[in-house]
Amino acid sequence: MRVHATYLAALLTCTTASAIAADQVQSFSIEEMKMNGERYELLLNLPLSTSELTAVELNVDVKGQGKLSSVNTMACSYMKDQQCHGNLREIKQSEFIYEVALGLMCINGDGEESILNENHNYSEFTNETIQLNDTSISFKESFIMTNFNRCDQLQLSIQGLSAEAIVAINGDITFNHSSSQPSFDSKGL
Amino acid sequence: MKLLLIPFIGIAMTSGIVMAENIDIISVDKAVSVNTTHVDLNMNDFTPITQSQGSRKVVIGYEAYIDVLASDGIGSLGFHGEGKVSARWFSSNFGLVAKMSCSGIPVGMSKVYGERVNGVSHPAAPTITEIRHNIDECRQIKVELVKQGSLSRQFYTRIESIDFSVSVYSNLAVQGEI
Repeated sequence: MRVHATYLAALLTCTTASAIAADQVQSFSIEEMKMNGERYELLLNLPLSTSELTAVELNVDVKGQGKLSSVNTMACSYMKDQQCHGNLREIKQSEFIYEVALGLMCINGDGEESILNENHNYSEFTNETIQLNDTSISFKESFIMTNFNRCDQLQLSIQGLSAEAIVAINGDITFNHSSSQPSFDSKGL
Repeated sequence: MKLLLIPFIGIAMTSGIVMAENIDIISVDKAVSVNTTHVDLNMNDFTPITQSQGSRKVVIGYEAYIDVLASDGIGSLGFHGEGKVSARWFSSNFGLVAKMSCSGIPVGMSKVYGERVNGVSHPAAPTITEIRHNIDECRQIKVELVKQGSLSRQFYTRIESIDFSVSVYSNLAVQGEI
């Protein structure tokens, strides 16, 4: 009975170890990426063991400076029939936008195939004063690739839209072939 | 006070629906009451925003005005607007910026995209949730939906439906109170 329990524990340990081993994580930062015009690009190597079905998790934080425009404009407090029926007064209107486009492509001998295209942005439209600090945008993407073993490499591209300056990119990509991985969710307060 | 407002809102909204049947309307007689109601707007409630290009006028977006009732003397207001904007299938990959302001005071904006994936069009879904303090006057909310891109891209993007709802809150300090 005791031998049996030890064997079971060893088996469980092996199963857990193999499940963890199936996860292959690659971390990256802006220093490893190449500029191609206004785009940062990175070629990601695929894990040695590939299969038809692969779960991919991509987490990327992109820090940069947004675009701020501010005008003092004459605004009407009440419009009717396209005419001002209220008070006409000068109001400061500030508009801030920081937008980043992320793309992921499968590259093989036949060419390129788009896997993912996402645009995320942070915006403000206010009469308050906006401090121009670095803004961070996060991408948290997870998807199943069905043609994983047809890709030689993956190409990640990140571009600030409206010519915003990107100052830092940090992220990781996880490849998983296991069918027994738990999911972890976290939620901020 | 709120009870007294309800019949007035009913009249205002009924009036809006009747007017909405006329495509040539240039203003919408809809109203939202602070803490009481939300207003649902559709395509007929919006007026095209146009820009001249040679001899023709290009529709670059849409705007709607909503009266705000019972906002006098309230310094802080919470605003929520959300909706869906769809374009014709051939132009359903498009960018859109939604902006809300109240009596000229900027409230918030949302930049979103509609897209067509595998032959199915998905609408752009703007959402704006903001609190504004020290508002001295908020009598009328303006909702602006502006197509993104160059003038020719804006011309090419044909919006076919808009559904947008707006609500306003004042009891920011007593949320959860029954």
